[in-house]
Amino acid sequence: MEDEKIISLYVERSEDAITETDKKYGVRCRKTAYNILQNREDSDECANDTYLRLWNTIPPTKPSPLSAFIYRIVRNLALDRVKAALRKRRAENNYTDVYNELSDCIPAPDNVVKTVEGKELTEMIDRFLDTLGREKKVMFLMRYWNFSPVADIANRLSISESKVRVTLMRTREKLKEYLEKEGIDI
Amino acid sequence: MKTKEEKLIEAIGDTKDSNVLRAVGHESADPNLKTEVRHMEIIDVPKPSEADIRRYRIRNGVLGGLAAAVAITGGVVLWNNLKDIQTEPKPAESSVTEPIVTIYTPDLAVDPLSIITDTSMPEPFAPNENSELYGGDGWHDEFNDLWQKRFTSINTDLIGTICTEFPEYINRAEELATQYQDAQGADIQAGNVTRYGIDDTPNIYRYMKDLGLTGEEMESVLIYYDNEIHRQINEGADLDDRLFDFDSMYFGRENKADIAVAFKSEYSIVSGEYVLSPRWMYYHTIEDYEKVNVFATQIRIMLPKYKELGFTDEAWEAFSTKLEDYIETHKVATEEKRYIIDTENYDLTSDTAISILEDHFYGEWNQSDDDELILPLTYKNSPFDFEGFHRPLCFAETEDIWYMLCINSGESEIFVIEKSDPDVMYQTGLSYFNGYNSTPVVELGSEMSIKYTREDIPADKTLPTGEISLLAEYKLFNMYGEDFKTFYNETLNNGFTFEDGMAYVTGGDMMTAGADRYLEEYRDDLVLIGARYFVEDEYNDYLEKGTAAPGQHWFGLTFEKDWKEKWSVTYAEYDLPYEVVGNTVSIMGERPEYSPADDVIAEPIDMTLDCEQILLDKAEKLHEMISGWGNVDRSALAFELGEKADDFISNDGAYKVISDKVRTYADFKALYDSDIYGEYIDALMWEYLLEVNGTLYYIDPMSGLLGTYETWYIGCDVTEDAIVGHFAILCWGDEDNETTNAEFLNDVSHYKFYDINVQNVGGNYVITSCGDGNDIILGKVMEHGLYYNSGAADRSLITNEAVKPKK
Repeated sequence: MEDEKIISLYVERSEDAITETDKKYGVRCRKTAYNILQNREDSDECANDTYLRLWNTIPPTKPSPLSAFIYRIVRNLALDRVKAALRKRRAENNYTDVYNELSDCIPAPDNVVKTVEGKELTEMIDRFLDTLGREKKVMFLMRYWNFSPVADIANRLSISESKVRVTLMRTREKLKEYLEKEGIDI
Repeated sequence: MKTKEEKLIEAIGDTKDSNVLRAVGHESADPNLKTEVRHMEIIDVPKPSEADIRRYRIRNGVLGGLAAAVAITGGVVLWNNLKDIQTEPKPAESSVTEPIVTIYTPDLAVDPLSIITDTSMPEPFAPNENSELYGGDGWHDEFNDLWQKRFTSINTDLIGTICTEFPEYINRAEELATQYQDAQGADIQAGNVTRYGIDDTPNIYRYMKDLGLTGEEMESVLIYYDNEIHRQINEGADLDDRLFDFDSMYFGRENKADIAVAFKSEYSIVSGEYVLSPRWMYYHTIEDYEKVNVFATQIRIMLPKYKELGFTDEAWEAFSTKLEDYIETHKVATEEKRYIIDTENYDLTSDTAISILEDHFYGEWNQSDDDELILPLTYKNSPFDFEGFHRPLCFAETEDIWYMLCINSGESEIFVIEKSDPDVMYQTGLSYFNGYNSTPVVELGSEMSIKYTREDIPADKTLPTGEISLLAEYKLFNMYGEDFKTFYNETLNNGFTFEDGMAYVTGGDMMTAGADRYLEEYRDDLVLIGARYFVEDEYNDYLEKGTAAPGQHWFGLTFEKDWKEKWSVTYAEYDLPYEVVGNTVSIMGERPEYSPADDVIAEPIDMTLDCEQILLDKAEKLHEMISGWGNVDRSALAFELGEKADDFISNDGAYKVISDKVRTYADFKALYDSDIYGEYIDALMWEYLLEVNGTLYYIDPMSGLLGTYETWYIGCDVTEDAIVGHFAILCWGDEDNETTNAEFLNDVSHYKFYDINVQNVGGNYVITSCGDGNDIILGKVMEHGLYYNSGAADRSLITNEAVKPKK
């Protein structure tokens, strides 16, 4: 079903909205959640919470594109869950791997001109991503947006896992250099 | 408060929508959304420029095919006649193609093959009149690209494989990257079209062109790359982390001809390290053919292929005339013989290969033109060593010859014995391959052949102990199987961390005197190897910092196969004197615990086999399967009594008697009261003495009470899926003389009975259960083993059928 029709169902408060959303985005929602949570039940719950969030948000919001909106929600919900789990010291999963890898990108404190956060930091990262070739960009986003395991990335891009790891390592180094060059701290 | 990492995760999470969809891989999941994603892709990708179009064509083989030879050896790519692309004739009516190489200027004096030498050849192809139907312009379209590719290229798929990896590496060559950027800057300043980004460099050739690198400079890049790989490995990088898959595919190859074959297309001729495209053949003279040793036969084979390429009549007339002239003037001399090896090859671990080796090649060979030069092809004294000299790859047999393919310093080397004359062997350093299937063709009697006559055939072809030659190593693999080969290579090539916590490695990158490995002993399920290692830290310091060469450490490694047919190292003898194995034992491995296998799928017993013998062989080894017996060596289990020992070794309350002089039980009894033994006999515990076949042994209680019970084999039943062996353990009575007493021996209550089941599991006969006798528990069966069916008791006294042992 077209996204516009799905949104119409939400606006009409039709329960088919959730059915159709799940039909179209359910698999990928659960996969995105699973990448972070590494737990099938939690991922299912996360997907359901996403639909609930959509139900509560639409209307008045009419997201476009709907797909990206949904994925953001599921990612944020999954991250909330994994952080809660980490606080209870019971989660040791893909999230912690990604978290640790991103430590490589933290600029050194020398030559810091200003501290940036939020939107400004996102814009800088977007600019950085635009400097990357398509393959590297996809690798970076799959890993650090979607928390995809290296094997999944390699499989999707039809390249070796070692190449993924090495490319990610270099991209992290480049991001760090980029942020340092901009003289910012996070 | 959020950590910096969390802030980053959050910021990445807020990236733009197009990135979100990339991250999720949305486009592949939902066909309905493909339009949307494709649309975004179009937005992201700038409209292709003229340069992009040209690059596309280059990538797709119009120009990107390499016209001639690419050969790699030792991490270096040689660009011998790649250079002739420089003078690629521009089709007269081409409106799109620009000169292909504009920067690179080869030193023509260095390589006369690098230029077109046959300028008399007409234009090979006519423009395609129907080109527009294929979306082309006459010279370049879907149809023409195909034959252009065939005409000019080597294996483009392979080039593509390499190309995707190469730019990654190039980025690490800082100096060259700077050079590239400078050139790029100069281009921009001059108002020229910007060069392609390094990441977009489609292949090594393209990179050379863009940078204007000479072949030598390119070599230096690749050497840098090779060193970089080794540096990473030396730093402990996991193999999975090696940067480039193609490194292991091509840089590791020592055989240039082999690499050349990998690079060639079905229209190429491989001659030594050269891959000669049709284009090269077309634009070069027959004198050039001679310079690269093209065989007339190769051209004869390739002629029909060339004809497929779509030459104009005029071009084909000129080309085929030239080729046929060469065939006519260079045809194989009458005394030469040509054999096509179109049969299956066998590597040296196979029975067939060993059989060909031992039956036909084994022995010493005398080189015909040098009486003093002997080529020994034996397990003991062989030039087939680890230094890359004559490394055998495989054997084959055709109707007419036996054939051995070797690698010698990176070159193919073929040894041939004609069946019509088995005492003459030819060695030829040059071979070529018949067509696209790469069937090797051997020509004997040419100048390239060395002739040997048989000098000696050693009668003994058993595997000798001592330095292991490569042939001997393969023989070991053949004897012990593929699992052994894998385990052996992993153990001896990878190094290990010893129980002292020290990491040891082999000295692969270091010149060391003498052999690295010695075969000390081998039995059915045991191989003892002496191997040289170096402390990893010292070795790395030597390689990286130039410190003193690390000292060598010799280990005696005992490889043993357990009852599950799995190999493991059960002993590591540490720091042995050079070439000597057999002193102190430091236990590294552990025997796997024996447990009845419940989950085996037993196959039918092969009734044609000697089932009883299989049972007894397995039963004898039962003691080796029991956990807790440790790494028991037979010589350590029972110590022979002899002259007065120098000392007693306290061993948890028991005592060993050390002597090398054998005594019989009778000797011992006679001497029991004498002064010679008196002082320590009292310290011995009688129950640990055992006579076996007339020799008295002392049983070390620390090694287990092996043999203290007499175990007799009674008989066996062979069912459809099991060989069931019946055994009886004679339990010793309290009285010393009971064992030889007929009444005692015939009393069934003095025996415990058990069965051993041997089953066919995946083709291997293994013990799948034991015990199952009256009150025998599994642990008790431990007492069965080395001394079954033997002992001091006189079995002839047994009359009770229930316990009467099988005669």
